[in-house]
Amino acid sequence: MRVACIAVVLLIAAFAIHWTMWRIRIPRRQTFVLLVIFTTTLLVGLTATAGLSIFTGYSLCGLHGFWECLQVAIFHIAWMLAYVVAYSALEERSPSMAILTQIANSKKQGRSREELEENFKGFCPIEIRVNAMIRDHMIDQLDGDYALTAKGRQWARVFSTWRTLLGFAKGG
Amino acid sequence: MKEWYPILVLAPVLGLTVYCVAQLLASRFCQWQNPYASLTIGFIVGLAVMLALSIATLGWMGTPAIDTVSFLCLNIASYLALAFGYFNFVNLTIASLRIRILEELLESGGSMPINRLLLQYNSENVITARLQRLVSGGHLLERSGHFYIRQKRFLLVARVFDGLRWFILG
Repeated sequence: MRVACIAVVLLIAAFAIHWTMWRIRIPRRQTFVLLVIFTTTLLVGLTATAGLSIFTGYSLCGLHGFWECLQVAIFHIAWMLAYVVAYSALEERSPSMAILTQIANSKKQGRSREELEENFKGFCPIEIRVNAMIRDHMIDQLDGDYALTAKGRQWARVFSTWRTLLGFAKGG
Repeated sequence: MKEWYPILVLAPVLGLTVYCVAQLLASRFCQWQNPYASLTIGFIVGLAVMLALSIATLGWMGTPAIDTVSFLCLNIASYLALAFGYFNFVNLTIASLRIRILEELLESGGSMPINRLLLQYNSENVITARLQRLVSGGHLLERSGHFYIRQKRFLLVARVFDGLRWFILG
């Protein structure tokens, strides 16, 4: 019970810090700052709870030994990564979700392809994503060309290799 | 009894490893049209392995009932989060525009003229591809040139994300 409580409290603390910071000002590199907040909370929390049991012998609020710390860390890192993945969908609404919401809002009338295209006029999904990738140093804009950076090339290789292994066609 | 504890701690990670391997094998050898079928199989197999390992080690450790329940909940929560991460990783290769752009750039030698990319992925092409995927996935129904909601599962996800966006981003 003790280990589970510490794990949950640390996760809630990290989320509360992130939520409060976002209420004050949303940072430019949101994903990076999210990772920093969650990782720092974990490290501080582990140090504090492990330290507590080292200095006091045994504590109901402390973690005892490497494996208890690892269990809390696995839980925390798993949720941190899951949240970062979900957060990217909050930052930019996916075209599929936008289409579904529009059709749902039309109730029983439905929506024609023309109506959907009309609503998306002026919306360039590629431009939003390219700008985000330039910001994240995945691609560069050079003399009328988009070019992969070393980081972008690595990510492209990872996804391309895994997709080929799975035998899937290209997505997007 | 403490010697079993590391297995309990690592059970979610082992479950995830089994999920990845099972999904990879299912995807390679079962040739399903729907890519999500292999993900579902992998998730169930990984969950079963994680639960079996957790329950067995908790039994061998002889932990009190309240600790058994809390450890089990912790491991299930960890596995669900890890599985969600892996699902999204695979889903990115299926649905993400960003990854598609990266792959197109990689295949064209690392760079591509801006106009060619913008032309290839204008809003019309993106809407056509998404409508096709939503219809074939059973989320939308096309009748007399109009699209209607068929399954509400994905719509529910969209609504949840709208709520979260409001809560977190204001």
